Amino acid sequence: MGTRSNILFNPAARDAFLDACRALDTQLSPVTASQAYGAIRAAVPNFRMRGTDQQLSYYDLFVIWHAASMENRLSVGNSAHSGPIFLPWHRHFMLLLEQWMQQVLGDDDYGLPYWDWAADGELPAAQQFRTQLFSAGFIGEARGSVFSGPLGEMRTRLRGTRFWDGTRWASVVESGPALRIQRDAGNDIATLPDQSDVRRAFDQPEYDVPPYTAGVQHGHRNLLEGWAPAGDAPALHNRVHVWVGGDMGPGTSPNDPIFFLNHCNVDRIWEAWMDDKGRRYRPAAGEAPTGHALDAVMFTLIGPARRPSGVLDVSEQYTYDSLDVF
Amino acid sequence: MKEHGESGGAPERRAAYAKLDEGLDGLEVRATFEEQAHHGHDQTSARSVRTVSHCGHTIEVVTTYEFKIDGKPVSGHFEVNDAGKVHCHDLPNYAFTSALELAKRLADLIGDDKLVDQLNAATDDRSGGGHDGHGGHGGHSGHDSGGEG
Repeated sequence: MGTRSNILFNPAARDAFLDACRALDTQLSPVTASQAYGAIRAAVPNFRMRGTDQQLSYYDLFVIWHAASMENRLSVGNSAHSGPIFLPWHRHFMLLLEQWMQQVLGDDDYGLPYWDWAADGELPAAQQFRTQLFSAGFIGEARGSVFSGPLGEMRTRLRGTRFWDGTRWASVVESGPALRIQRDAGNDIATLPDQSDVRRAFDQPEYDVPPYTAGVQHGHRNLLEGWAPAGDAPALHNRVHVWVGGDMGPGTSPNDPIFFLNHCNVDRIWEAWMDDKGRRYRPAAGEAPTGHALDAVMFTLIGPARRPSGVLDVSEQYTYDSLDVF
Repeated sequence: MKEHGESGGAPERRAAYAKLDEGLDGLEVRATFEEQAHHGHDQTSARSVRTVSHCGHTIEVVTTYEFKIDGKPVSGHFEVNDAGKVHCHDLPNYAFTSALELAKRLADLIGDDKLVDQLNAATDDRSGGGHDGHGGHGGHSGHDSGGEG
């Protein structure tokens, strides 16, 4: 069983994560872009791709899986975002990545690291993108192309874009030339979430509240996802995506491994909430909205499918080194 | 307060462990689908309705957006939240205070028009469907596909 730890304080977990990202990105899977596109479009007609037919890396499969999840649009949000499913779906998503990393590392006890961004959010804005995290020994440059460290060897091949299809600027995933990871930290929005923001989400007594949309102003999920409070949005998880910028912007955001450092911390905050408030989830089995209930099958492209009920207790899968989240 | 398993959260056993390459030869999406799951993707205008109760009155604010870049329409699912910020599904974490800022960001996403598109030809050959075809899954009806529970 893996232990998930703070990337800044556990050099072994940091190095293993960087090595595993590089390994999954440089090893080509047996899946081509056209095979992945065909499989997804058979189930999600909204999903659009264009560009080169190329062999995808194992890492690319997570990129396309995430992008496709957003095109399975539901009456509330989509099959991974803007509704109650947000937290269990990303836990499900990262469980497979962690298991694949364990295999490429040959270490069954490997656990993903997390980035405690709320701690950095306590720093002055000008220092937040100049921390040790954005250095050659960690994840590389905060702005522009990532050249330094192991992630400087990674390339993106799938990118969320807009394309003129003859009638409209349509949203597509483009399969194109291999490019370096791009970041633009602190330019779109100057500051990361801070510990008072985390505390506000932690103090919510309910996991989620009807009508379970991105518009609800209470509930742990919507505050942690970052749509509420409306005047402060983007907050918490969303704010980290926007603050990092670059490849973290579109639906292909797992292109940047900082995606997983962010989501591992989001998962840690949810775990801390459940540890304190109980392993409660809403909506209950069979309840609306479709695709968000406790017994909904979570959008799965690779690996075993799961339901939220199967990921509320992950004590046999992994643990965190600390649930002190603020 | 610890109410372990209140909503059915039994620990998942490691039997669900997934090996690299397992299932990759027959890639297939499994999910709970919903009927009419094509909410607004191909629309080039977007209508957003916000409602609130105030002093016994029910207030409804309807906003319609139509985005154009270089005179050409932009498709997508655009929403306005209660704070008046605008959101679009392909910038999933953003909420813009100005629709103009959203439009500028969408323009930044415009891809490489010189990229040769091999994917739609290859996929259409395999599925027998057209580029905009909705082949394959048929009518979504709130059903599950392939969940192991």
